[in-house]
Amino acid sequence: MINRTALYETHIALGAKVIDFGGWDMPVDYPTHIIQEHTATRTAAGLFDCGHMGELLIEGAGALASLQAITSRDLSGMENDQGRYTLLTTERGTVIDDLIIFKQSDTKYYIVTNAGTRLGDAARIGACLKNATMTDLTPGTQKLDLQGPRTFEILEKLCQAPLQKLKRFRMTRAPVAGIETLISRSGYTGEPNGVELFFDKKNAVKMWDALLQTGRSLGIGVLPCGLGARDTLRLECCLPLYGHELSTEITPLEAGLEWAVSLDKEFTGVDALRRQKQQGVPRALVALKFSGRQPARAEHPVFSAASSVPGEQIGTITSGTFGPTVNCAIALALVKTAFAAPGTKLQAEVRGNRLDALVVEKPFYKPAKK
Amino acid sequence: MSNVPEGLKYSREHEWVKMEGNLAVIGITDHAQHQLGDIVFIELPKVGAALQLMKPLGVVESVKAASDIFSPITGKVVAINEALVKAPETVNSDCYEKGWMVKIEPGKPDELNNLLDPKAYAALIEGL
Repeated sequence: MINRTALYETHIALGAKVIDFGGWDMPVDYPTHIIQEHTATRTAAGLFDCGHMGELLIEGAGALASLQAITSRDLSGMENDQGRYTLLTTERGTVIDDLIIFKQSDTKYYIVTNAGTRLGDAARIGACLKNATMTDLTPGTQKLDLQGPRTFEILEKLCQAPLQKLKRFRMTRAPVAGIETLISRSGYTGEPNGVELFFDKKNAVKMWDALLQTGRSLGIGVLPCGLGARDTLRLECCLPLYGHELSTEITPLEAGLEWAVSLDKEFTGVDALRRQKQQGVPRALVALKFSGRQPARAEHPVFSAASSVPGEQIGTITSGTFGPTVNCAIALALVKTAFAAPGTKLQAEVRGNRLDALVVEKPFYKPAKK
Repeated sequence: MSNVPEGLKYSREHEWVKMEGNLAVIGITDHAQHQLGDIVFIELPKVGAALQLMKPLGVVESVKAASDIFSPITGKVVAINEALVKAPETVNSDCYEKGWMVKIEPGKPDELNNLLDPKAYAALIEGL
């Protein structure tokens, strides 16, 4: 069965092209198309329906200990309303999902999951809880992301709280457009100014309209953005996408996420990860910048450009696109570690043609902090 | 609403054909460019290449995906639109004029009769 967010009809009325993403009918782009939506987010603001993503609430005296035992990053020492990016891991140290876990109190944790992984996450987490309960808040929750340099100009008109002072990965509660909202300063575009809003889904259309109308009345070119722009925005900033850069076949060390793995704490899969850390990763996620505009795509094979190793496939593209802000084709690829150093010349094979690419430092694009 | 100009023939796969003397000019329709979104790269055949009916004549890459362009008729390529290599977005902005892709010498002129007229093509995309 396909799911729809409370904004489905709104997207259709706007002329969105809808695709199945993680079991949800979601807009991939509006008639403005990806480049304009992407650019609006980089230069003004973009509004994203993220109603497909999951929210799980863990409550009880055992909440922290239960989560510590199954996720990669140490959650101790967090303040109330602080969040951390972390990974739900397998015994092999590979990734079931990437999560943001917010501490709401010593006995209350709020977890944001991906869409297609939510039910598996809930089953896994639910089975591991001791002295804690889980509530899946997804069916009643709408998540909307407002992202880009002019985000707070829009929110200021709709919310009394001093949101400019909210730090990255912190949340607060305040009415926005008269709607009780959980506001987190975070997002998936790489923009330092951006929020994720969580509220009762019966107010989804009201919030959507208020954010767009307020932005327009201020002369801010805020645009509704689909999953297409969400993908190009996150890829320019080298943020991983579950199912591409992360999966149950890829470890966080291979994906370059060692900062999200606390090897000194005990959790599912830590032994495998400690071993891998000691032995060195067999492959690594690299950023590839192409000389031309033609994108390589996920699954395309990667080869060394050095004549000393002819013909040998040394890796695979995990995500590839045309980066509208960097104005060239870009990709992430998992390659043998010997070929992962910045400056290494590689080639991706696209429909029988070899495209020249250079391993570059991540990310491709780093938005200026205001 | 997609633009479906008079005077052209259309394929069910959203290519258009315009006869200029003995040559068939081929491109993709307004509906197609809109469905693809922002076009960032185009791969065209070489001049002299033999094209077969309904076989790929090239590829367009939009930001989100690659899509084949199918040859609406059999024939030999006599010219390609080199300008699209540097400015593929022309297909988004002007798909019926500056965004033409190839000129073909038709090998089987009867095939042109199997293509749709503007009214039939407009009805086809209306139903999608």
